[in-house]
Amino acid sequence: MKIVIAIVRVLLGLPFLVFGANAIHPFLPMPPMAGDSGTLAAIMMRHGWFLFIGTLYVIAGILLIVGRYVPIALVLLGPILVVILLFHVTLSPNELGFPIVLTLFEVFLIYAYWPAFRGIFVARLA
Amino acid sequence: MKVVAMGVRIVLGLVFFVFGLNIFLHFFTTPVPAGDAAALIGLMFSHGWFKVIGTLEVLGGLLLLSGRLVPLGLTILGPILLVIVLFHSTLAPAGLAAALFWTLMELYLIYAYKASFESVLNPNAKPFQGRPSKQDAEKEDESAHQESA
Repeated sequence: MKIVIAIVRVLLGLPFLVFGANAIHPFLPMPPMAGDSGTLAAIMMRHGWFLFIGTLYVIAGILLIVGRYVPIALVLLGPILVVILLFHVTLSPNELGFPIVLTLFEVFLIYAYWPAFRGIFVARLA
Repeated sequence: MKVVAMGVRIVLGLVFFVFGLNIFLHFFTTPVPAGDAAALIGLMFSHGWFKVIGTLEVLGGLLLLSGRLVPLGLTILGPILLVIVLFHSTLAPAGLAAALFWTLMELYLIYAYKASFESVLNPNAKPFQGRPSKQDAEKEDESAHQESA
């Protein structure tokens, strides 16, 4: 189980490190996006949102690969994955497979690191 | 201090509850932005993103108002506030002051509830070993005993 958790950790960290670096300094050939998804991406690009998101990707990716501050990395990637899913569900449903796999990794890691998150789910605090 | 935290919790909860509900019920009109801000809002609106965001805002607001699961409410509202600040600082600077004010309230509440977030911030957090629920339950029993003793 320990090895599985470490592998999933690196498998989730690596794509975010690579795609984050690519968002900051493009080096991967990205397919042009058509329609509304292209418009949305262009607006985000023009106003520096991808630099910001890319930085968060890189930070979370490194933390996951290194294995320190893993819960912080998962907290950073949680809302990012929600928006990635939202983006693909509503705007480019053909490329939904990869985001779903990454989300499953994220959910599995939240489960694996559950002791770190239990404090957030205490209903009534003294 | 307890009263301040409660006041901030209710104000921030009310803001998100009302603005979240307004996305569905339209009981007041919000100023229409121009340029890229309008284009972005328009895209998000036409593809139903505001329904998702509105639901999360109402949920986070209700948790803060009710005083139950407040750390979960703060966890839901945190990234939403981050994007609100990002939106206003890059696209619609008119609303930036208000956005920063709500963010300060969120940060204050995270500080007020910092005991709940400590384990998330642990640099050496380890995944559970073997059968988690049993081990953790035992650990919890131990600490409960210590507290009662």
